[in-house]
Amino acid sequence: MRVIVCGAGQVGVSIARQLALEGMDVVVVDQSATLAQRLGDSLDVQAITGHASDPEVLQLAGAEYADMIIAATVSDEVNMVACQVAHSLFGVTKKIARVRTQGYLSEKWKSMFARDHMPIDVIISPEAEVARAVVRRATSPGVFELIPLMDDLARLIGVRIGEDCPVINTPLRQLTALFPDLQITVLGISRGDKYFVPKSDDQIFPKDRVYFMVATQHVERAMAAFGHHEREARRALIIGGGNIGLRIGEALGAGSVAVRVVERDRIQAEHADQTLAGAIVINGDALDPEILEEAGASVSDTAIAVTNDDQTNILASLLAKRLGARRTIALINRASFSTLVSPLDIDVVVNPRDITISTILRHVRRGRVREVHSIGDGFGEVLELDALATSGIVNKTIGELAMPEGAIIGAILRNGVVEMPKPSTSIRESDRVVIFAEERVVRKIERLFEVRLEFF
Amino acid sequence: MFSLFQKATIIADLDASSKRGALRALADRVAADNDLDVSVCMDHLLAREQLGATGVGGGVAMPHGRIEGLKDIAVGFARLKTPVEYEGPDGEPVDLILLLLAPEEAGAVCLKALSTASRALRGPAVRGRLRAATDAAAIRTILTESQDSEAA
Repeated sequence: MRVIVCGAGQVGVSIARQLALEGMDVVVVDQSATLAQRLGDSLDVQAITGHASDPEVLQLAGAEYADMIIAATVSDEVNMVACQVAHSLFGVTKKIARVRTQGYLSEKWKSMFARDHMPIDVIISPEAEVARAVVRRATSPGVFELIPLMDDLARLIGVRIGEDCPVINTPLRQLTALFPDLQITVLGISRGDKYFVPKSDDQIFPKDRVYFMVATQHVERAMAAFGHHEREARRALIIGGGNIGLRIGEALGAGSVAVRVVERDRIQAEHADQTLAGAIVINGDALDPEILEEAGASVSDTAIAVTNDDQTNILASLLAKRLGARRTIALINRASFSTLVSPLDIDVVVNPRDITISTILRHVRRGRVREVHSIGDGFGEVLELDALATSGIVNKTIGELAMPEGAIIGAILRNGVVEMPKPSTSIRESDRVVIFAEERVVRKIERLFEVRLEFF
Repeated sequence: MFSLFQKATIIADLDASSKRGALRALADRVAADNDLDVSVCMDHLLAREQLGATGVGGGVAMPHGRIEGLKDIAVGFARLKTPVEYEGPDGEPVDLILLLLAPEEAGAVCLKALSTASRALRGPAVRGRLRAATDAAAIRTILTESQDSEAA
């Protein structure tokens, strides 16, 4: 598969890196010769210098036989035109564009991106997606990860395990016997800086971070079993009143959470004040304890640090925690920082890379893919797929399936009902299946879901 | 016995440098011969490839799809000048492509057509003859004969 990635910024580079690791032919186009050059040197990708929407440049990048273009330059307009050119002149199959300006994304003008108008199949909007991911976690007490799957009939949840967690030091296979109410599948455990997919005799220990699948109606019970009884957030402190902070503020405010915002830039702070009705906006430096105190850090249920600077986000959330915030969420772009902060007192780290890559992978993975989410900084993926006739997954019991080590079935949706997998469960045509797989075995899972020739 | 290849669109020397390019060039001709919208055909073909590539090994692929509004099964065959990567089961590049489009409603008929076509293209002998054939007419004769002898 040949993919053209336009724009060698943070988003473009992380996409190019991931796709190159997948063994795809990746061509990166960027206006800056140095950026393109540096990328070509460090990754197994071809780099081309030029304007992303210029037909000559796209031809040079191999658009005639490319299967996908991902336009992720800083300019929405360039991204849109690049997709249009790729479609009209080169017939590129899949067109993905990064579009940030709210005006283009409004529901009212949705028809603009129809095939006969501006043929873009997928819009990626990292800020909006990061904001949504933060809001999901901010409103769900106790979780550091929450991904709705199967039309939100089931959820993947990540929790930290405390010393008082009832299910610790118990082999997983005994969980159902000891906690008959607990309808969950443990998909992954992160211990120290290691991640693994557990086997049935593995146990959960304090300080682990556990990922599990649960039917949405049973979330509360499952959280209690893991020792989490936190109350829902009523007061939130948002550090950073930029694009992401404003979106979070709007969403939380609409859900009747009392919102305060700290923003360093005066003009941006004024803008935030006008945009967020009902919120209190403070113009000042979030690394100043007095400012944080004034913003109510000590009485906040959640402090959310989403400035565009990783260091500020890390330090401000630590400071807010010290001042009394119950829970902290920090946006951290650099993967190397994410591992650094895990022993620190930050409850939730949101990683934009995982979020953007997930959107792209959904369109790269084989099979009838409904959802793909990259988990744990590239450790693995949770996939939601349709089980199709003739594929290797159907008409066998889970016990009979040759599941590769490092992959596990999380849940099955049949006739609108979520079921947790048992060895005797057999997967049928038109079931929907959630699977968690370490990155290195994702290919094998795709093959398991691949249809045979006679599938029409 | 219904002949799959009598009215098939046949391209003897298709110049394409990629799977998509080859599919598109073949679909273009098949669509024109059968009064179809090529972009609709491509959407269906590529969506089917996404579920599992239709390479069958030995340099042969059999892309197929159901098309709304199509009256009868439409068949195309292309021999490529140079093989293209196709993600077949043996990883070999593909230079013989048989394209099958079926009406939306047709059930067992399209499966039958697919298995007939698959039998007609089975075995290194017929593939060798197809690669050596001088022109489209010769290819048509080989395919038709092969279908007849497999059916017998």
